[in-house]
This record gives sequence, C-alpha cells and structure tokens, in this order.
Amino acid sequence: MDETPTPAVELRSLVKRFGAHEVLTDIDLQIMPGETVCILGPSGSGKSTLLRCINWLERPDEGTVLLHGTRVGYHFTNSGSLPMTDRELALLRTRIGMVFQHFNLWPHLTVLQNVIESPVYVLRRPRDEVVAEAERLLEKVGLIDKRDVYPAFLSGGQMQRVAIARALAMRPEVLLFDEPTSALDPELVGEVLAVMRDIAHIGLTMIVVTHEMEFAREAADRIVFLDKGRIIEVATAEAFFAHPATERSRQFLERYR
Amino acid sequence: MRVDVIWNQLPQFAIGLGNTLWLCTVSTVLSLLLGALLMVPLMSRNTALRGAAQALVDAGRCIPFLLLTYLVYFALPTLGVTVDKWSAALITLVAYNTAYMAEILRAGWAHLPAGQTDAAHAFGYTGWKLFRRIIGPQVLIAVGPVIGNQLIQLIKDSAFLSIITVPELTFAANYVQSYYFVPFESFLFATLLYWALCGGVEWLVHRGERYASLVRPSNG
Repeated sequence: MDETPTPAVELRSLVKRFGAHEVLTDIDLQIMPGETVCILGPSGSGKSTLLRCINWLERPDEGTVLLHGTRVGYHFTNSGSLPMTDRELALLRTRIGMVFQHFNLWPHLTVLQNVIESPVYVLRRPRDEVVAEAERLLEKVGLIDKRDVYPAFLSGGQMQRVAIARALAMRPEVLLFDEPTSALDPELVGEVLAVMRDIAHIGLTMIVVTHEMEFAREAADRIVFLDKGRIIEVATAEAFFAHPATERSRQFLERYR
Repeated sequence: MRVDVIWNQLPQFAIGLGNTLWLCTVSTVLSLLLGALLMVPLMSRNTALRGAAQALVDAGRCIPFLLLTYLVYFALPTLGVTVDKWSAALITLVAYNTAYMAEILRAGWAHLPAGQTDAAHAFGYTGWKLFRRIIGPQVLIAVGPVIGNQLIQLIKDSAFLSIITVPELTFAANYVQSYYFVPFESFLFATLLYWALCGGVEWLVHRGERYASLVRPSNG
C-alpha cells in the first residue's frame, strides 16, 4: 500500500517558453495538503509564470500539472490524453483560488457582488447561502462595512482583502497568491499580510509568490527558491533563512537583510 | 408665423415622429446586438477571420448613409431582390450602424485591462458567461457616451429616409410645408422635435454616466 497522501499540487518536468526564451525549465514540485509554500526569487526568475501554470492561465509547453491527482489541462480517454475544452478547464479552475498583484476586482460590481459573483453564477450555489458566507468572510477581512461600496472607492489594501475574500468564497482546494502586496503602498502591506497569516493558520493549501521575507519566514512551511526559471533550492522556511544552501540564495537573502 | 397650421397638422408630425422613434429604437437595438456578435470575429485570434471582419466593418463605416439607402432601395431590385421602403429603411439603418457599433464595442473591449479577463478565467468563467457577466457590462460602461453619440448620428441620418418616401419626421415636415406653403414653420418645428429627441438621448447618457462614475477608478 502506498501510504503517502496525494499532493494538493504536483508539477512534473514543467517547461514553459515565451517564443525562444525558456522561462521555466524542468520544474518538479510537490505541495502537500495544508502546506503554505512561498516561492522566492529575483524578478524575472519565472515565479509568477510558475504560479499561472498551475491553473493554466499560462499553458506549459511540456510537463504535467496535477491537482489532487487530477491532471490539469488534459483528460484521459481510451485513445490517449486530449486537451480539455474551455468549459472543462473553467470547471477545474474553480477548485483553485487566485489572488492577483493588481487585485483585478470587477469594477462594475460592489464588494459583496464581487465575492458572491462566481459562487452564484459559476458554481450555482444557492444565493442566500453564498451571501451569508460572503458576509462572514468580509467580516473576517474587516470589510463588512464596505459591502455595498464599489471597488473604485477602496484603498489598495482594502481591495486586496476583498480579493482574498472573493477567492475564499469559492472554497478552493488550493489558493494561489501572485505577489499580493507588491502593488501596495508600504503602509498598507501589513493589513493584507495579517489576513494571509490568518488563512495560513486554518490549514488551507497556499502557494505564495512574494518579496515579503518576514512573511515567508513566519508563515511558510517551505520555501521554493527560483532563479532563471529553475528551482535551485527547496527547504523548510527555518532552514532556508538560517542556512541557505546555495550561493545564489545566499546572495538573494543578503539583499533583504 | 402660421402656428395654427402646425397645430392643426400635429397628427402628421406625431406620425412622423412616431415612425422616426421606432425605426431608430429598433435599429439601435439590432445594430448593438449584431455589433456585439461581430466582435467575436473582430477579436478572434485567427488573423484571416479578423481581417475579413475588420474589412467588412470599415466598408460599412466608409459609405455615405444616403448612398447605402440608394443601394438597398434602388440597386438591389436590379439584382432581383425587391424590398419595400420599410424593409429598406431598417436594413440600411441596421447595416450602417452595426459597423459603427461593432467598432465602438471592439475598441472598448480592447482597452479593458487584461487582468479582468485573467480574473474571470481564474474564477471559472468562459465563453458567453464570461462576456455576459464580466466583459460586456464593463465594455458598455466604458463606451456608453460613444454609443450615445452614435445614436444621435443615427437619428439625424434617419432623415435621409424621407427620400425613399418613408413617412418619418422629415418626410412629415416636408409634406406639411409643401401642402400648406409654410416651410419656415414646418421645418423649424421638425428641428425642435429632433432637438428634443437628441436631448432625450443626452439625458440617458447623463444618467448612465452617473452610474459609471461610481465604477470608474479615475475618481479615486
């Protein structure tokens, strides 16, 4: 019997190219259920692309992505593996939450409408139930008083907290964060990180691309260090920050000390 | 001033105004719908398809409205396709404005931030639902005033339809002035009615803009 649990996300020999430029080379990674993993690395090292390959916003050129053992982007038939249709892919993506650098809230919808939009119209869950859950989530991120406000009237930090509530309302199996604090004024970073720490504690699987070393050190179970499209180091957060194993990760950490 | 003639002929003007109104309303709705459909090939990744659609749209936009009316009403019958004046009026209005609406909507969609589509994809939207729930409303909010402008253009263009004897507002004014010899009063009154129509459109645009100002990030 195989005793090891199925990874929440597994990447096997992933390769992604933009034209002739190879952005990701031979990425192998397993992320276990409940883990918080931070992906670190210099700008342009392929961190965001790696994240976007998980929910197929970028299609990898080679390799496999598995979500709890289900292959993303292809499905198996008797005659081999076929690319998923847009509809199949959309259904699979609802199992993966995402928080974007620039929030990408839908500006024509109020805060509450943003949070309930996809659970109601894509997942087709009962509206009353979704509204109740959305209100709980808005309470949790401290924005229940803004429920009927349009995003244009929120600060960046508030928008990002709404975006986190919006992602949580999907009850995702995995939550992806793509540099969630990089577009924020420094004084607004703290409120977003506080919400993220809360979520990490409830045991959701989180994959976070970030430049916030403090957050990575405190909240991450493991660190994945990426450089020039390759995974150079995977270690527990403690080990990575105390004893970085490679010259590149040492240099990288130097700049944040 | 022969105000009494205009007063007595109000039913004529009412009929003309009514016809202008429904012709413009129906053709606005139809051209918006067809314009939205045309967006699919206009935004297609297939270059040949996109080129063909763009050529069609440009051709439609670059033909004088009056000439298009002549083509539909007088030239089509020589090819064996006979259309009555009402059909000709609707076909012309719809075909002409579809080209404009498609271009307006396409430009609005092209300026939508890529992150909006990213987020929609990540949350499970695709195809028609993506358009109806996320893209469409934002495009409409962005291009509302431009569509209002086009609507005013359409109302004015519809006056040309009097030439193929469609009994719309300009036709009614012309009828009254030639029957009672009151060109000044009749044409002035028709002008006032056109102003009122366009004023109504402006009012709608203004109301839409009040909502749009809630939604646009520019007020932050």
